Amino acid sequence: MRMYELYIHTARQGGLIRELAASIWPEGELLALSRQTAVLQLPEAPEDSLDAYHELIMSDVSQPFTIALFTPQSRSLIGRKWLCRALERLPFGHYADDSVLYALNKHFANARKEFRRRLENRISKHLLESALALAHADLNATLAAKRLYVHRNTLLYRLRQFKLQTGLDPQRFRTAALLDLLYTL
Amino acid sequence: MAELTFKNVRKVFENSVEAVNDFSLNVEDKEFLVIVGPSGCGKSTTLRMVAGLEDITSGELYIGDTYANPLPAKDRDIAMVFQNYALYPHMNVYENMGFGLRLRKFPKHEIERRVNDAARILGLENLLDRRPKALSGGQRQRVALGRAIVRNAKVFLMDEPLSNLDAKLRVQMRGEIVKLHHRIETTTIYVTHDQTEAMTMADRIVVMRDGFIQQVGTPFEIFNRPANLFVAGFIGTPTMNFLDGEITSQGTFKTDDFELVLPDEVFGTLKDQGYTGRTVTLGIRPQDVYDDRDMFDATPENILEYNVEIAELMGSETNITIDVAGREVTARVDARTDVGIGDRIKFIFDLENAHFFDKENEQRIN
Repeated sequence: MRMYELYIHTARQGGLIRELAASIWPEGELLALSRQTAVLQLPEAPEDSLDAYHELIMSDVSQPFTIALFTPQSRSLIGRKWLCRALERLPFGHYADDSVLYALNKHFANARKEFRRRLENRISKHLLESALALAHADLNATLAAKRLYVHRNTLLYRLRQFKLQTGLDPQRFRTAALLDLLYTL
Repeated sequence: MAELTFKNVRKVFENSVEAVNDFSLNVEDKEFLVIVGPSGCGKSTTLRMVAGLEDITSGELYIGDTYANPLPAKDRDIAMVFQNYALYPHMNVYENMGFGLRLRKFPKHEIERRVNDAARILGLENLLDRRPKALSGGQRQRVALGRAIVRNAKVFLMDEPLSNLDAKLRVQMRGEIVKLHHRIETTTIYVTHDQTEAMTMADRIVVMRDGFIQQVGTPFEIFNRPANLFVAGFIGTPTMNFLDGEITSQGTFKTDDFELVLPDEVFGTLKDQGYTGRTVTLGIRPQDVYDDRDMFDATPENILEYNVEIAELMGSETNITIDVAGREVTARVDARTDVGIGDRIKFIFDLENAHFFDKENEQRIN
């Protein structure tokens, strides 16, 4: 069964994070809990946007905190421990998976290596090559296809496959930046 | 209840972006203050600094008599209402409203008392058992307000709370928030980019642009005596018309295409301030552009005649855009006026109500 992973990180230490995790998503299974961070497994995506949940919780706890959601595909691209560390590096707010992965890979060289290894095991060489070509062509699909000597439709098909298999949309700027970072540093 | 004092408050983000600059203001106890401005002008950042969700780079913030800069958000006794009116989906209205108090370890009977009080104020008594899914948009927004009311906070901060509602509901909720404020009298700072909300709800309005306060005043002052070109253009629908021209020594406003005789009092002010022979910007609101005969008879020398470019029937009135020698001038005329695109139309500016701005520094002259 495909599961979403939700991360909640607060500035305050103590029992608050446990209470939040237990009350806000009672249907979620608590996967990890530290003094400031909780990781919940959710059977389906939250009904409202992350932005909405972030504001809702912030109005109750009256303090800065972070909330991040990983899609079923992307959550396994990197270890949970690394993701928690990445959240601590980000300004408080709400994040989708690609921005957290970006921060993680920017700040931790070991995580970058690990992420690359898992990505290459997960998808074919062609898919990775296509997503990278798009990133290096400033998201211009026609130019990327030309550089790869493939038809534009072939490239678009591969990009869709990349998204399906990784949960990361290579046609979004943040994913392009993430891939560029992974393979240029 | 509390008053709020900002002294030269400034916010610079890590990426060196200056979001708020030299913000000095006193918000009175029980006041309903609206901060309005375009996206990125620093209004939400100001609100978040009050809430303690953003650090203040320099300057001082006082909540009541307390120096609030170092106070963590949870100790500021402030309640926030945000743009999204999401609620916890598995909690009913009662639980949603009481959740913040539960996190603060309030006793059960106190939570019950406060939630019931807030529900009565907002007319939610019959909905307390309902889950969010069974509520309409307006009811959800009322619950979101209730979540703030139960806190009995000193100050309410509202960050565009109505912008996710449809137009009709927005008008209705606008009225409800004003009524609510009259009833509970909590000092409120309300942020919006919608100038209609600002005009209709505020005791006082703060207009911001690029992190700086442009003007602070009552809705009447802001509308009738805008401090500069930006405020004049930002407040009012349709927007104010602007025309550049020279103030001649004969007491006229002269452009390349026409010349208007200024009322003595208006010319006197401009002359006293040394604007004779200089180019200024004339601002005239669409409702001060007339197409009726009485005005023509009063100042026949100022009648202009140009072609209609757009005519929009709004119901009770028609907004017409006139091509005045390449510049667009909007007029709000009676809906019964029979004009169509391309028609010649005679009109006149009510120069008694005109606004004049310095061309260089864009500040108000008269």
